[in-house]
Amino acid sequence: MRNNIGVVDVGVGNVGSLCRSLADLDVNVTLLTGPAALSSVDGIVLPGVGSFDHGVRSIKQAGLWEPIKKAVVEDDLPILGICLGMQLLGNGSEEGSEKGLGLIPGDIKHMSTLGDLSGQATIPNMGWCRVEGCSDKGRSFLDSFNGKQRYYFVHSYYFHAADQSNVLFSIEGVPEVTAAIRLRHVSGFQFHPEKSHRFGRSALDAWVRGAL
Amino acid sequence: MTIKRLIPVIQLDKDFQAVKTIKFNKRRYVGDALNLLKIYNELGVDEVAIWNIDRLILSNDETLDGLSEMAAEARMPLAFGGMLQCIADVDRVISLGFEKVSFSYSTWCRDDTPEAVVKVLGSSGVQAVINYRKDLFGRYFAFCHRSGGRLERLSVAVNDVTQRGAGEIILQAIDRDGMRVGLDSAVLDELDRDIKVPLVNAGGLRTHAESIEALEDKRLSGVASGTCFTFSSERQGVLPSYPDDFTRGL
Repeated sequence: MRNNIGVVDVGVGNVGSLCRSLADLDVNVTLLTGPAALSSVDGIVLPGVGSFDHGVRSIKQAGLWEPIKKAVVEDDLPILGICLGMQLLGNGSEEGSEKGLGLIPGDIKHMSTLGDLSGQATIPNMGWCRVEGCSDKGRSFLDSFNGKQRYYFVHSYYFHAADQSNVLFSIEGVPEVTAAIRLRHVSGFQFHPEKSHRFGRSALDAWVRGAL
Repeated sequence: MTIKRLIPVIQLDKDFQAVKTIKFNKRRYVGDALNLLKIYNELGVDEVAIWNIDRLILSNDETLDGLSEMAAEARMPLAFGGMLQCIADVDRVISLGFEKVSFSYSTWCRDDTPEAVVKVLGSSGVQAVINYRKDLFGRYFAFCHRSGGRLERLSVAVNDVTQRGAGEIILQAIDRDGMRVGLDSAVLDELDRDIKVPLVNAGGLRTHAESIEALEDKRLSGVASGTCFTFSSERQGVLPSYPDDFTRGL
């Protein structure tokens, strides 16, 4: 159980709803605006909206980039990236020139590279989508809810995992688009759990308990 | 594939209370807007549209505090419309945690703010709300919701906002607003068949069952209502409600 969660707050999206969602799970939430409070948390949530490079540069300007990498790689501090935050866990993005955190091998690609998505998804993909399990862990989580989980997504780029066994769920009907990913203590949700009602709450709760 | 949405509408008055208009004229008091939003959280609604019908000023601290509280409370995506007069207003609303902004068609006609916002947010973050009426000859026209003035033929208005980048269009029937007389399903036949932008039908929704049936129309991506999801069907008392997933076939 992760009881004291640090939410990275460097102006890349509003974190109010996310903090309320975490607080609803009875965990303490600490806003991370710089590296000072990083040592006092037992899990990091990295949210974000906007462009890849803007996200990277904002975290660097706050002096958090290297401390986050060090805490995750050397101290095994769990991290959850949400939306852009999940994409920042990868190596890099077609959207920009900055490098990602490199915590989960994979690259961020534009959804247009998937070819004709007519009837399956629009670009940007904005709305509620069902997901389907890709790994045993992902399927097990979804099965505990009779498989009927849906989440709110807003994105034009997707995480192309170098190792597909790290993918927990993908968007239903578009298996290339990673919805949730995990490698050891590094996790990512492409969807917004804080905007996804009980479905998002369950996913956040599972991460807090170390199950996702 | 995205799931079709049922969208409760919260109309904010000048005191930050939720009200419901009838034919855009009379209004009924609903209650505290934040409390209503909390109930919609509990009901698990797909999305909420918040319309600033009394033109609360968006640079006012009190307004921003109220909207900030709503955004932080929401466990669903939020759209906001009304008095978005410039990019700075939109920046304020989006930075509070809203996902989309809405502009009425009269605003699309009057200035280029909506198009400028499309360039910043992308189409998916910008809705066009087209308020319309049918004339004596059965022709559909977009109307200005404030002056009551007639604008363009509805099909022309839809094509106009589509070409200018609207990511979603809400078709709002003025004469059905708050009346619970049924949605105007025929309005979709007035539009060109190849409209690619998601369409939302609003105005007149009677029952949950009607909303679910309406979504079977492939041309629609959503149904919005400020009455059906807010008042009980029989005595019209305030009783927010929403169909559950099983009823919706989700």
